[in-house]
Amino acid sequence: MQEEIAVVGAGVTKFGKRFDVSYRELMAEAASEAINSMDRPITPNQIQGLYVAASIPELTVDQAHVANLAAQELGLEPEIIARVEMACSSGSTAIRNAWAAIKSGLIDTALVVGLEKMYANTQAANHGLCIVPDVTYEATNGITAYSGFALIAQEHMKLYGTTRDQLSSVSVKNHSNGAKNPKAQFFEKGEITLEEAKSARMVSDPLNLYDCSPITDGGAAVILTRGSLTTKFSEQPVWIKGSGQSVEPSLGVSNMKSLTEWTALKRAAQKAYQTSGISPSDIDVAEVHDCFTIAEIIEYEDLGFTAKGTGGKFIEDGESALSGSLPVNTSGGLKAKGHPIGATGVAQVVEITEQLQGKSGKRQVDGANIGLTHNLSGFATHHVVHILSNEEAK
Amino acid sequence: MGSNTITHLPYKIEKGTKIQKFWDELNNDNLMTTKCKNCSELHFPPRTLCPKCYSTKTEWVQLGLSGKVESFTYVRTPPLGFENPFYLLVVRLEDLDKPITGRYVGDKDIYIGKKVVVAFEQIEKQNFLVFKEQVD
Repeated sequence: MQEEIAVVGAGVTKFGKRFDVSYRELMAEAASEAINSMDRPITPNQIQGLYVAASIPELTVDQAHVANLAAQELGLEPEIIARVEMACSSGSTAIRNAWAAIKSGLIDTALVVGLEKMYANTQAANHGLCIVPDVTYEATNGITAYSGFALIAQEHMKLYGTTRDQLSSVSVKNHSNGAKNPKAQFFEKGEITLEEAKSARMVSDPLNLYDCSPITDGGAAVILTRGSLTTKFSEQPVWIKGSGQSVEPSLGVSNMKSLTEWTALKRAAQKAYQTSGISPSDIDVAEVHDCFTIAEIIEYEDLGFTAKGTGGKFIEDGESALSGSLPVNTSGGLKAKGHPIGATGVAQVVEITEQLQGKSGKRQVDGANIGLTHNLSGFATHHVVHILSNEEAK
Repeated sequence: MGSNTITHLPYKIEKGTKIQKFWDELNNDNLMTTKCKNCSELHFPPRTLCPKCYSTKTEWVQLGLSGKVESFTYVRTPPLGFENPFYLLVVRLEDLDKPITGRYVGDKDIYIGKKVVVAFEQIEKQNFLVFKEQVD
């Protein structure tokens, strides 16, 4: 049997408007949160791989070559180092690459840091989001993330009868969870009512302000090592049991097979389930990519939590609530925890790691042993799924 | 509606390359794309390398302008560079088995399944495709 790989350190910074730190200070804070979470904190000479997930620092803080910046700030001389850019899924992609480097035998231990500082230049951040789809052939026609997902929502509502209340219920749930997470961007805001969520200012029909995740400053970091070394660092390693990734051969809408059934997500999920031997009904807790409320509803379906077309009912019936059969986005999700795009995929793995270690405080899912993360980018064209467990042998 | 919602492009577009004909023909109110001479795959957007068979032998074909609305949204918060709210459509053209997106500049009666046609709107001396209602 191949040696398993585990998370032995995991931490996030406070998400929100972080005018109190520079880009590099945020990077250091994220790394420090992960290092200080370890039972026996790692030292620089033990870090052989360094991956930095960052989407738009060139635009927001005028800094390129940010993986080298991390090496400077963290005093590292790694054997393998890379900056990973896959827009909103940069974080999970960086984790998958670190996992693959350890799996290959090239290195034993890697640090993954994801971050974004979007309030540093909000106009540049907006521009950075607008140029994620196919700029030449689609963005010039006026399509952007929120209008793209609005088109997806419109079609899902028409095909499956998904309702306004169901969309808003995702937002209400995620704000309720975020109100229990002191690191969340909207922790201080507290819970919102269904009425508030439904009556918010319309952005692009049918998506209103409370259907959309915000821009955010924030960072997250994890430390991965191979099975035989986990005891050096941690009493409670969390094992990466499955990892899957897939992409559509489409940068925009034109070459997607379907707007409402995400075939690349289904392929990524199937790979993660297959490699782990874990099935959707085994999952105790999940962090999924709720950039817009409709995305979370489609993800319930294409991750196999519920049948195609019944994602709306899944939220309406409370299945994904903190007290439900499969709590989703206990951190508050992208909606309430915030969405610093390079950090998001890493922060999802941090939340699941803490859940499986029983460290999630007021939002702890009782008896959580197996968790899943899902991170996407573009118009749902690229997906990464990870399955984690607090037991090495399932 | 009907008036330009954009007067200045917020993005740089690479032009004067092998697919210049696409842009030139838009200025003649024609929608062109490429087709693979080897495997007959119809591309959109136009290509210089066929993604199905990796042949570089492609030819230009003209697409008919009629299609049907597959999805739509009214964008009330326009993105950078766009001045007014607008309808955004996903349209399935009769001649192309891939959806295309664009702003709608026709009447206000918009619904999934509505017949629309490609129209052309000039921004900085370059036509871009938009949609308007089909008049039978």
